[in-house]
Amino acid sequence: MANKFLTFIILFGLSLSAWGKDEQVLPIQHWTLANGAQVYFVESHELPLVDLNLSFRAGSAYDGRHPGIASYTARMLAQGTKHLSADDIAEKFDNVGAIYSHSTSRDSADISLRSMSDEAYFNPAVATFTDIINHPNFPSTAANRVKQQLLQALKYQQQHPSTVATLAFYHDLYQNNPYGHNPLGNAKQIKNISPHDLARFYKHHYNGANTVVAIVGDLSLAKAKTLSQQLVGRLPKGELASLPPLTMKTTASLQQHIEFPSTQTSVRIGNIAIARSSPDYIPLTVGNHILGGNVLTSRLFAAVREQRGLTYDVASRFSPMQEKGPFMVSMQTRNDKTTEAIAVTKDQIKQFVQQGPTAKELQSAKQNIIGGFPLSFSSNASITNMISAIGFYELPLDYLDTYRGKVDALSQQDITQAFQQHIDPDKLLTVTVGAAVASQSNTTTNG
Amino acid sequence: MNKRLRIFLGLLTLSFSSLGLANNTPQTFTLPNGLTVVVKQDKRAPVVMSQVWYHVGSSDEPNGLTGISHMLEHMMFKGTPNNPGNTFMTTIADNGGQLNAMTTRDFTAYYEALAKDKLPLSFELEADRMANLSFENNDFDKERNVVREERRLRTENVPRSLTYERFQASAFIANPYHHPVVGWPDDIENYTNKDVENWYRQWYTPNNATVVVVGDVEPQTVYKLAQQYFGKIPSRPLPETKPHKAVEPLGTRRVAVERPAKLPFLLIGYNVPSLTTANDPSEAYTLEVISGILDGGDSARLQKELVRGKQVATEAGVGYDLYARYDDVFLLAGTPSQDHSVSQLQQALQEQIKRLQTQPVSDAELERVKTQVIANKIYAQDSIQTQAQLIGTAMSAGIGLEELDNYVANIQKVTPQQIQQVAKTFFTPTRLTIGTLDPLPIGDSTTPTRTTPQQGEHHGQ
Repeated sequence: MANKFLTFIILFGLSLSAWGKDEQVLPIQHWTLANGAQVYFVESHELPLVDLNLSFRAGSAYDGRHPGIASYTARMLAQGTKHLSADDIAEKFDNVGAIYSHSTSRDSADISLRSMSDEAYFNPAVATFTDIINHPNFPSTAANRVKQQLLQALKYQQQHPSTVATLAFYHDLYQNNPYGHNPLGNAKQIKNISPHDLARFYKHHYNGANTVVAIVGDLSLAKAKTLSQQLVGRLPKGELASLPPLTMKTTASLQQHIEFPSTQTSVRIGNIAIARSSPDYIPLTVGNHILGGNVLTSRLFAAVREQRGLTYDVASRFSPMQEKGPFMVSMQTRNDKTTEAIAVTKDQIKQFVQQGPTAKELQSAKQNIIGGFPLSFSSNASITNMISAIGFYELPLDYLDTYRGKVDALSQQDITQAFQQHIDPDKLLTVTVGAAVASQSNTTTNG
Repeated sequence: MNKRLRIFLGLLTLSFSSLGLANNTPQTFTLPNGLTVVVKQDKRAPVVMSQVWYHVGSSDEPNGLTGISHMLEHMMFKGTPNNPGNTFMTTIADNGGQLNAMTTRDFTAYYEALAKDKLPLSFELEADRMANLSFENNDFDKERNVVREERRLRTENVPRSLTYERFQASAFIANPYHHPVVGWPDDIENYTNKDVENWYRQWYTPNNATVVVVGDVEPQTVYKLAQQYFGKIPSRPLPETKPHKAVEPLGTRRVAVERPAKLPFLLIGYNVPSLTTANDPSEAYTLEVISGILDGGDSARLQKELVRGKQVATEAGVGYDLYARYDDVFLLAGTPSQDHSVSQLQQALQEQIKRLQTQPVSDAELERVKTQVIANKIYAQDSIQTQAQLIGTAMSAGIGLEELDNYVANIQKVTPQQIQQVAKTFFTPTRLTIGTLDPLPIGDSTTPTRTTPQQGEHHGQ
């Protein structure tokens, strides 16, 4: 009865808002379980499949004294439970054509399942998924194997100048703060993490308060409710994890160079910018679309690639997180052009911060973002990502409905002001990874 | 085929149609100038994916002009008299669209994703550059620099990519997959604007292209739009495509790449046919099933036995391109674990091959692969890009859409006996190529040499 009533309200809401200024773009349904877990659901029967994504506040920012433990724990969930071995788990998913995956970012650990919705396949897949979430037991043989894999993954990162550059950039910006270290950890510390440590991390962080569940696909609201309870309803209530405020020394303009035997230098330029909750999120991301976000039409693409042929790939982006995330430009150029490419890039950033976008540029960006909005929901997979982010970053349920209106209302000045507040062109960190020898014939940057 | 299997297949077809997947069968039209238009309806969102596929890729390139298809792809964004400079990109952007392009061994494809009512815009711009690309004042040399950087980014500074490039050059002898899509460095240095223009005039004609549209559109409307925009472009005779048959391999080939790296890497490949070149198509479908037996998920043999069981590899995988235009390789690749060598990993992979030849796969394994094939077909429906990609690939390989439709049924037909037979026929030492990445020191980048100069000084000083 309660469920039907709820459905009725939602449908009624839909038809009303269709006449309003902010048309409802996605019928997102939301509820909270008794243990605090937040559930977001979009019903969609066009394809016989269901996507599930669970986001836990258990990313590498919560590593604490064990750098790398968050990603290690997430990798271990499907490596053994009270009832099933790693082989059993793999077989149970594969036999019903289900796809299990996991990932760890600085903020979150995410585990996902994609399954056919036919109950003959779906129910067994969900049973295995539920077991992994609720009863992982971190067997020591599997923990050792995964540890070896992690140590190899760390080495793999080190053979790529672009990865080395990004990791150094975060480390230099955030120093000893939770976003500073490699989310995979480091070899020395990984070696010291025991199965017991993993079990403890799991117990502290995989609780109701830290959980956001996204469900998208071919099932009814009633079934989604039962499903959410089955998946995470028995996790202990726990407490919502939070990060300490950032405390690094203010950075002066820095240049860090890491010598690397490559024919091309990877460059990262930027500074710490905003948290996802910042009111400046929309002006900054729309402005960045013009500066370097919309790859093929941005100012950086025109200046560094099209006009000078210095790079294949140049892009800037904001990565807002729970706490303040960075603004970062990334590109690569042949070693002897590094100085020129950095100078051109910094010049573009400075100009944009000082003068902001032109009226025409802003108009184009608005048209691209607003016109391209439906593309963001054209698949169940993209809808799943979208509602997971809404849940994880505690955005309002009408976030998508009001988004286009907010973009449309932006003025040039809104963007200039936001950039001036969050980007200081004279205090940007620049990280270079490549062979410096070849660039010695070049003169100094204009600093 | 036994009766039980036939009933199962019948049920399968039924269940597909009852799930509403049967009424969006792609519709194909051919314009008088030879342009093929394929439309697949997907009404889930008010969007459309519009793609133009030219059936030309690196495998059409003669020695000395390698990478020219890819360079032409870059030049396609440099404007026409009607839409000069980067008008193409800004117009699509201003209309809420996303765009990109790709070049592979067998095709060059361009796409725009847009709100559904913007399809005519995509057609107008694509038709314009199909016929009228400018080769004057087009910044050719700057774009060549961009391609040089792309080669550095994707190949030269990625030790595994470089290993794969050299592996291919050994595995494919007379076969046109011998050279890399991006081209050999010397060819990139020496192709000219005129070379690219000639390439464009030879291959970019409506009779060598397929337009693929997937989204919330009516097929008849798309057909009319295609006539309106592409119909006027005259067809031209195409260069004669030579058969390019592979020469018989005469023994195992070995190639080593020594580059700065932290981890070794192993590639093992057997020369095999694709669906296009197989004498008997069932051989190609059997190879596809074998790739599932070895690497179709975490319970497949490589993960279960090499990564988790023996722990001889930290990662291992299989690659087989069913829809390649020419003969291809069946590829096995992996990284040995810390306490195992490349040769131990090679031995373990070859034991897996031997097992396929000597023991029939279990019913349970085969059943698993077949279930995954059904699941993946459903999952592929979730992305308009994946759907368009499949159609374009099949058209480029020249295998046709019917074959694509029969994919599940053809996989379902594969038997344990066929698997054993195909493994014996193709996984022989004569057909084998072994490639290794042998790491040279990088320097210890866990404790990098760092300089922190004062503001205004460059690190090179």
